[in-house]
Amino acid sequence: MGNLAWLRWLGVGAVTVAVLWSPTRGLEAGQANPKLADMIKKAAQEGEVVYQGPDPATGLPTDQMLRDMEAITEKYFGVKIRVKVDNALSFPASATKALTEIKAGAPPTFDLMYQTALSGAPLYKEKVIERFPWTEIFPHIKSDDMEYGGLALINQTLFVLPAYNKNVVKAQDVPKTWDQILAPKWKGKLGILIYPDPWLLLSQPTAWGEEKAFNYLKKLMELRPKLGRFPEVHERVVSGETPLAWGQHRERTLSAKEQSGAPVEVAELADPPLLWVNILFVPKGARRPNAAALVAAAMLTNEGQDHQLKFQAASSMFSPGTPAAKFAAQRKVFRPDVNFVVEKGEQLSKKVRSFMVAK
Amino acid sequence: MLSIKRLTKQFEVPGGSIRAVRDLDLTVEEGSFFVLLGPSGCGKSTLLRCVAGLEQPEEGEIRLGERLVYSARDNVSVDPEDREVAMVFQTYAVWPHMTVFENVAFPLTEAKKKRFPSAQVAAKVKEALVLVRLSGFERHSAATLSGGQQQRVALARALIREPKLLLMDEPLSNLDAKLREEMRDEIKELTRSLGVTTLHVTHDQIEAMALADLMAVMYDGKILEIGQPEALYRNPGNRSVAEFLGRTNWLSGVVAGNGTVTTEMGLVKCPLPNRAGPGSRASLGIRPEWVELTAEPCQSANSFAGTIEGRMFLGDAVLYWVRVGESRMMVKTTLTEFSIGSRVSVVVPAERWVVFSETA
Amino acid sequence: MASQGKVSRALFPVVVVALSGVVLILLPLLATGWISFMVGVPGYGTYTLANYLQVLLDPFGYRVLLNTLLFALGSTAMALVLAAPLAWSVARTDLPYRAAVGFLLGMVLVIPGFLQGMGWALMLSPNIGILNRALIELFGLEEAPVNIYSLSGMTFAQGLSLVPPAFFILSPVFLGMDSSFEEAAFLSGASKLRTFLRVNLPLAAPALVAAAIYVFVLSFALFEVPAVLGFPDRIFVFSTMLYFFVHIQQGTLPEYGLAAAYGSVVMIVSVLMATYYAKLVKQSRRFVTITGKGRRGKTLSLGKWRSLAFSVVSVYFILALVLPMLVLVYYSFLPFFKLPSLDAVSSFTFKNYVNVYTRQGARPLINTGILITLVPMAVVLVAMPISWLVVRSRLRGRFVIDNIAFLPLAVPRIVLSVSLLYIALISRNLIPRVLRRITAPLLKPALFGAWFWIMLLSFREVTMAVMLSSADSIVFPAQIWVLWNRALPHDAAAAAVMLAGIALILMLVTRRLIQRLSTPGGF
Repeated sequence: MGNLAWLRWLGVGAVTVAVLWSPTRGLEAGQANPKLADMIKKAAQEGEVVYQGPDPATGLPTDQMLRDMEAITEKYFGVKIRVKVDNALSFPASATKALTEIKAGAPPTFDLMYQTALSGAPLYKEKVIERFPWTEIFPHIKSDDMEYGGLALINQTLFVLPAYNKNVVKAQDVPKTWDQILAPKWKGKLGILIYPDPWLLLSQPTAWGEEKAFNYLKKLMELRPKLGRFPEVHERVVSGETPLAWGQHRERTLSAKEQSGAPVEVAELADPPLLWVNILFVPKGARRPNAAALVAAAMLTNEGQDHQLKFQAASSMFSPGTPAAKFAAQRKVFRPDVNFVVEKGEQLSKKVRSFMVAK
Repeated sequence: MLSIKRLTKQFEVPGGSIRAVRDLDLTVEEGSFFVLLGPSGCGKSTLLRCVAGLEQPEEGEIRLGERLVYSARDNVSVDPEDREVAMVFQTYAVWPHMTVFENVAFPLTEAKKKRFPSAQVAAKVKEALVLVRLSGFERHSAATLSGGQQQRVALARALIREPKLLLMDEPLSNLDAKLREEMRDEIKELTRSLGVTTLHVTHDQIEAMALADLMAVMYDGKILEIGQPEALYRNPGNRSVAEFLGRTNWLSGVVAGNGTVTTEMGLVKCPLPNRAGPGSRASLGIRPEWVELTAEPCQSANSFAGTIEGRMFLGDAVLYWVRVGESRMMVKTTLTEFSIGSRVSVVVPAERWVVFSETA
Repeated sequence: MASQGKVSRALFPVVVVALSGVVLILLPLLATGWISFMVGVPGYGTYTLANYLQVLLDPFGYRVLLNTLLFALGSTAMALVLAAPLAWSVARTDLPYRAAVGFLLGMVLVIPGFLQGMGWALMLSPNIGILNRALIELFGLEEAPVNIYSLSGMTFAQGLSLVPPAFFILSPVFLGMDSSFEEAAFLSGASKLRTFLRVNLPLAAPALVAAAIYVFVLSFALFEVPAVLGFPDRIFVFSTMLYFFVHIQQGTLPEYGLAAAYGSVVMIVSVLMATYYAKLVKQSRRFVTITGKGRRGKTLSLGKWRSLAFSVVSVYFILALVLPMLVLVYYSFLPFFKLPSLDAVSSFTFKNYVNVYTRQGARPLINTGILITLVPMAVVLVAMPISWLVVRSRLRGRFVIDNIAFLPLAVPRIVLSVSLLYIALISRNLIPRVLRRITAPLLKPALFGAWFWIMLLSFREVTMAVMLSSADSIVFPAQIWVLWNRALPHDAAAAAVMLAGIALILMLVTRRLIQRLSTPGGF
């Protein structure tokens, strides 16, 4: 055994050397940047990440999504990292799980987490997110690409706008402003999201402010809309059950239309759309922080953004040249302010809840 | 009182049907206690249930008194609740959710016909409970009673309407031995004093003989023989009936003429059936208690020398197994002095033998 | 004394298995109680009574309580009104095709609740419901006559799907009931109706009430149908309210503490009802006399009622199985929802079925196979000692054990009720010799029967438990849920149709197996 041990180490060494010397961009980046080289070296030892992230929204196989993530990471950084998905829990439940584990002094189950800026806020508030000098290590990452004061990377920004069934809703009836949705003709024909996010966002002083937002919500609830999550609201628009959805992901609605030929359309309002910011970050004490950071960074490269489009029908408006960037360039959007959410989220969430359940 | 004609009942089973009752005729006289005896599966319970109306026969007719309650030909079938018969079940079927009083009063308060005013009900229940010696148990929950007590409740419930016919389906078989004898005697006493016509089913020959005015031995859906218990016991019509009614020593031999049969024990003097001519084969049966044992050698007819091979003390009697020549004989006697190995004489009075011709 | 020591030693493994089963069940429940006194990070927050205070003070909670009670009472009543005559007819009468009833109910059990809810939504939604549309056209109505998105709507749909558990609790009771009780009544001169009212009904009452409590507690916790049919119109019951609490929260952690407080209240109510249930089961067992040679109840002839009874049963199966299944099959062939038309039929596609396979491969299929084999085994192995202890031993506190086993409901209780009856057949001294000679042959079909129903239930009910595991261990029903969640309802429908197909085959095979085991000499 002892006689052979040196052989194994020689093997590992040879592989490492081969990886470091192989003529790829990753190596060049590594040579140019010692911090990145160090990260790649450690990541190679870590070998894999447990990724808390959603299944593809476009209906493609999850397995293919993961293999593509690995391929992009390898292409950019020259290191093969196995990506394992663990998405049995919802976003808030995953966040709670990670937080509980970190508080207990144990490493979190997840190495890399995918959350919305709002659902991940408890981790930000409790300061249990691993800090990396992202912009220093990765030249393609700019300060705009970050959320939580530099702790998390923005991989997607989704625009929330009304969606409608074009077989049921006449062209002249398609709403052009948020206010038009409050028209009595939509009573009983409207689907809304169960999430409090839109109302937190609109309550921000930079958007409508709390008073206007909740006045609006109150009037909206008087129309007896049907509650649901994104997929349920979408399906009810397609079936004609509720021909108008107050808010849906614009890109995902369009992608679903393209895929199945379903009669859905996005109402391009004159008003600003709401922005859903999705982020990637490494929870504190993660077992494989370097590998996780590399995979996250890879998702912000051009190919990473193509990958997001392919599997999540979404891209980041902060990555130049993406559809999201092109769309956002023409207009104002309501962007969530995480500090506002951390400060007022709990109170406003309860308020949203009481408005939603009111009879 | 009860007359059954050419009754047939079959059951469908996977792969065919079983004829539980075959083309059977039976008459029970008013006021008599009639027992159906037979091994399990002989169809006796089925017959009883046909009389009760719980089973639907395929052929034949049943009359209760003058009333036709079942006839295959005339397509008559009276529902059990309208037959005015009462029944005591093997499982007692005392309703556990009622008190003793409610159980016994049920036929008076819930029957289709003729309900009784409550004062009368109370009096009648009281009377019935006195009869079955359960006075004071009125308020007890039936579920808390012992097996014997439940049987008494079942009996009171069956008798309270003074039924034309009382049916009893192995009512004693779930009781332990001592209780069974007590109950048996009480049933006999009760039915005699009330004069109720009773049809009783059992597989226990002692119970049958103790209770019956008249009894029928049933086998394979048919009645083998009907008669008074003593007559059947002493003089069974065939070997099967003899066997059902008690243990029997059997010998086989050849008729020698002059009222004798040559057997492996020697020449036996016995009453011969009319058709048994010399040279024909015959079976000879003798019950153990009719065989006598003596210590002295005996020269009389039907006496044989033997040796005690086995001994079993029964309390009121002793059972011996005696080797006589090639055969072995069981003897039941009050004499206790013999022990294994004793040489004895076995004496069988000629008139005690039952003899059947053996058809080749 | 010595023999007693021997008995306790023989009991030891039984007690160990039973107790570990109890611990497995109890731990999550204790954790729930603990978390309910906490705010903040579960396990690391601060202790408080605030959650219970909110439970007491929030009028919304009371509204939900009222909804839940109405929903649970309504669906329980409906399930029992259907299941009791059905179980009785199958056990005791010459109902046509009665042998197929248990089998068809097994199929009803297999269809996941949210797909059943979806089926009803597609049939009876006021805006797009197929049946509503047909009724409007047929009678020239102004608006949809039925709205399934209502408390009565979801109660109706849930009531239909609760018939199988009620049936499987009641049918052994009716089968085992000594028919001489009713014969004694006939021979006392009582009419059939009076016999039914004074004898059959009171005798079956404890079992009926027990079944009602069981179904009631079950329906108190059911999530799927209320989530699909009640949630959209904000008609909350406890389960959907808890879901709402955990999910509708931003910028801070979900209110697990509050959810746990509500959960604990429900739990305490369940324990109380379970205690009563255990008492009733004990009582009903006393009424069901199983004498080895007890006469199997005579098959009653329904006579002129036969065709009526058959029609009622048929209507039930059309409503609970055929219609939802048809809608599912129809839905599974569509690229997106269309009302039935020639256009819809011409757009039929197998794509959804192909997708089910290409997305996850054969893994869910394989895992499902493993699951439905292992889970029933585990459950039977744990539940058998528990039910044995409860029924046969004199161990102090055995009814506590029974009550605990009652809590996670669905899975263990179904076996308990199946095995209880058969275990009642076992003689008092359950020592190996007896076990081998008498019990084992008796139990062979019974155990397979238990295994069979657990298999069906694990096929379906384990869904939620599996939700908590990773993609490696995904099983079919969980996959259906995932597809549904990913806005792929047509794929979910396709997967459900496949699931139903597999269940059908499995049930046919198991039935054949049970039949072979039940016949003497077979093995």
